[in-house]
Amino acid sequence: MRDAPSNTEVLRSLVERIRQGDTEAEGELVCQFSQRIFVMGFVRTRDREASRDLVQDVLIAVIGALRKGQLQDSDKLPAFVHGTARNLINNRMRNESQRPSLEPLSEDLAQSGTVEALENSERLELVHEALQDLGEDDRKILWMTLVEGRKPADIASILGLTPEVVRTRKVRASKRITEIVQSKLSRSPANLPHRKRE
Amino acid sequence: MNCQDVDKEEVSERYLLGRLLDEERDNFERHYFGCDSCFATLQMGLAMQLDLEKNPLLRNRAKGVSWRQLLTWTPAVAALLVLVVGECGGMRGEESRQNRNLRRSR
Repeated sequence: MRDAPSNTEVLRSLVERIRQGDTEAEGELVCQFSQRIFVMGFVRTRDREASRDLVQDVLIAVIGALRKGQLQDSDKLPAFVHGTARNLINNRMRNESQRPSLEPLSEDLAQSGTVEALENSERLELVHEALQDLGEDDRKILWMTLVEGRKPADIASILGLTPEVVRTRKVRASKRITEIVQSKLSRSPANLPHRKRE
Repeated sequence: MNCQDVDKEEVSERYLLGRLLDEERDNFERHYFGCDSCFATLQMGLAMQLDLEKNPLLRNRAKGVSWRQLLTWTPAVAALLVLVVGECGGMRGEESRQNRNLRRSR
């Protein structure tokens, strides 16, 4: 029995298939990287629209380069996608008005990374529910950490706790939310394997 | 950068707060472009950050109205209410007395 292919083999095969013009492989690339590009763009710019545009622009540039066989070492595909995204963000920030107009992704490819998938609205909803179920102090700790950017020692002095307790509660609360959300997402119909139509 | 570094140095959280140096930020991004586990953690962190940012109820709670503040102001508000209600009651009584007198004089 053959072991599951390693990540290196998967990337090599993906890059090679795209070079040969396999559109299904291009769809897999879109699925694998669109959310990462969106998150990177959003964290850097805090601009949803610009981040959505960035996803399209990066994927068009990467797929174009892969079709032409411009990536020599397929192991470096994630770094290549990241480098392309970083360059495009930097260019855009340097000069918004001189942005080159790129041809949009084909409809099939664009649908592989719809806005809903990029922002993952189901995850956001589940996170909201899980946060509501947390104790008030734990929610305050997360709020002061992730929104106000306070450090554990600072939070500890406000809430009358020790910094160590704040750190422990923060990690515990984050893990609890992650577990709840991932368990619910794994049971979600959208994530169940599709049955073949009979 | 590897997963242990990311975890130990709270890189994901610092990234979301824009507190990484440019080089650290680039290294972390390069890492999560190839790491499903760290990207999942980052996505959760971002989802929590976005939800907490838009939750005004929590914002009010975090700033907080303390029990001490409530205890200080509650008696003052109650006294004010008594005064207002008493005054209104008095005014109504005066009004009905005037109406009665008016009817008698007619």
